[in-house]
Amino acid sequence: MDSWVPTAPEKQQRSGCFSGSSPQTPATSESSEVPLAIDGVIGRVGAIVEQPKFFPAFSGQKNLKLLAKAIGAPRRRVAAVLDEVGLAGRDKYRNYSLGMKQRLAIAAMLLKDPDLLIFDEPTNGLDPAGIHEIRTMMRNLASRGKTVLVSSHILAEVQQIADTVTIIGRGRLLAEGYVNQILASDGYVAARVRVSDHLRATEVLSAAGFTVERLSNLVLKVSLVNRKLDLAVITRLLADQGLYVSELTPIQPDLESVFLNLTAGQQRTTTREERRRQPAGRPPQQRPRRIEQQQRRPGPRRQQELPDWSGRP
Amino acid sequence: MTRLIWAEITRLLSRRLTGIAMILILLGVAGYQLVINDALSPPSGEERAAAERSYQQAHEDWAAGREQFEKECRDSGSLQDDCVIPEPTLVEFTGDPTPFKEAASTALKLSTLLVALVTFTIAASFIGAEYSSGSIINWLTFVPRRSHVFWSKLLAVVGFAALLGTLAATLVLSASLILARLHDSPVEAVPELAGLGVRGVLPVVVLAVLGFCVGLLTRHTAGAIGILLAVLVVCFIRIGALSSQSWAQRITPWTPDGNIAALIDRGYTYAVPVEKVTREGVAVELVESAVSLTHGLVYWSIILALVIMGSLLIFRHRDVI
Repeated sequence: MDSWVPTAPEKQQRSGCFSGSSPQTPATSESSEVPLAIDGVIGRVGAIVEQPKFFPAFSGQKNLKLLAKAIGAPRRRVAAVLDEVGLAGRDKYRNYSLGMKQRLAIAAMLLKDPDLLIFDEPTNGLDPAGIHEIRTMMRNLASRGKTVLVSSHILAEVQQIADTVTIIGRGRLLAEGYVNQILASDGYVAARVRVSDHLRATEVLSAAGFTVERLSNLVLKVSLVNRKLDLAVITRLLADQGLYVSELTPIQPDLESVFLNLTAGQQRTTTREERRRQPAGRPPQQRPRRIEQQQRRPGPRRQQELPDWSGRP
Repeated sequence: MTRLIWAEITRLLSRRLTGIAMILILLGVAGYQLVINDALSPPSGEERAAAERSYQQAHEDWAAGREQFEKECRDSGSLQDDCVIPEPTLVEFTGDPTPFKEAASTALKLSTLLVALVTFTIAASFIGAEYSSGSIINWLTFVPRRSHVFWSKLLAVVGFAALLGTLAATLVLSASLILARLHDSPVEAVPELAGLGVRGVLPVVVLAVLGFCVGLLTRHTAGAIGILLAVLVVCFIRIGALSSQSWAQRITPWTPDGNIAALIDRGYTYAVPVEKVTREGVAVELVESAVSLTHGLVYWSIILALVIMGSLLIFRHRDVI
């Protein structure tokens, strides 16, 4: 499953450019080929950009029939895709709930049976049941061999549903690989330490540069800012002072902390080079940060140029 | 492209507003046929008897009071010609049926006006509703070729307008012919009237294209209708309140109403008031000029080309999100 979590302006620009809802001018240097190659790839790509908006006065079925006619999809696919997403499609679109609208959008995407499906914030505004439904649907599509790219700012969601992840900051690939590998490669960001004399232990560890937080009476949370945490160092420091730990548990980082670690220290100012690369007439934007999860990608790699997004063979 | 045009035509015909507008046109045409029916029908026996009674009464009054009135009139210093009361005639009271050509011609022109205004609204709403509901974003997501999308929508509107204009003209002319036959009214100038009907399709298409482009530019149906109303108000002021102003009439060849009239009537004659100083004082003389059909065709071709190209350019480069 693929995913994409850029900052809002960059996401809108890229996804709009790719899907046609933004003007067909090269948005950035990385995606400038998209409008040119669009004829070759559009039949293989399905996308939901922002909130899906169909013709409100028509039923779901009517909306899909119109789309099918426009894109040359067989008419019988309408009933099939509606069935696939569990919609009857007879109600007017304006009466749909957010979840139903999202499901109709997925059905529309499936009309042409694309290889790549792009979801932009697919769970925005949905209730927990709707979120679960959409996540399940995305997983099912991925398990059927589709490549699913999810653009989401909810990193916990990305961690939960994605197979692989790519982290991009300021136009450069920061990390890429399976989610577990990415999480592990970041090392332990914190450890849970149980020690009888927690006051002295706090003094010792703080003096050594650790950040110490008291979780309960005898339990401390020990962490290091922007550095890997070596559990052996904690035991050695405490043992040297005659303090022996009764519990030392590493706390696994989540995707959010990995993202923050990888992008920490990156300036959010716009450089002269970035201003030059921005399209004319647009105000300066913050540089994008993206997390992208992809299926069947090799193991972790770091600090490389972005892959070609144009969709060209 | 063909697929897209069919999809747009399907959407256009599926819209509720289109259905309502077509019913409105049908009602308008049918309503005016009642007026035509009345105009073509000769007076009934009862009407004729009532008219004869009125005529008799009027003639008696005229015969009884004529001499006294004329005498009083002459005594007051009026000219002889001004004091003559014409003798009433029976025709003045019974009224002749309107000739078929005149009745059908008026019906065709009115239906052209009605259909043109309705298609403007339909076309503006067709694209305006897409913008206001945001569904244009979704459409472009699935069909990301903006030029194709623009032309497919425009061609759908043009095809629909041409079809509607032709149907309305055919309906009006056919109904008028049937009514003329029913009332034994002499049918004449049918090819001329058919030509008027064909030419009437042009303003309908022109207004439909303008409606689409203005709706696209304003992104809202109400905005487009507002602009149309503003133009109509200006036109009415020019031909009404400013009819005595020479400059307001001289610009007729460059006005939309003058050129629409030239399309419908195969040329449009207008009068420009020109002041002339004579020995008695300043006299206003009306000098007739004309806007030819060719002028109207060239005028609208240029206007439409500019409006379409401008709209396409904006549609291609304007962000819809």
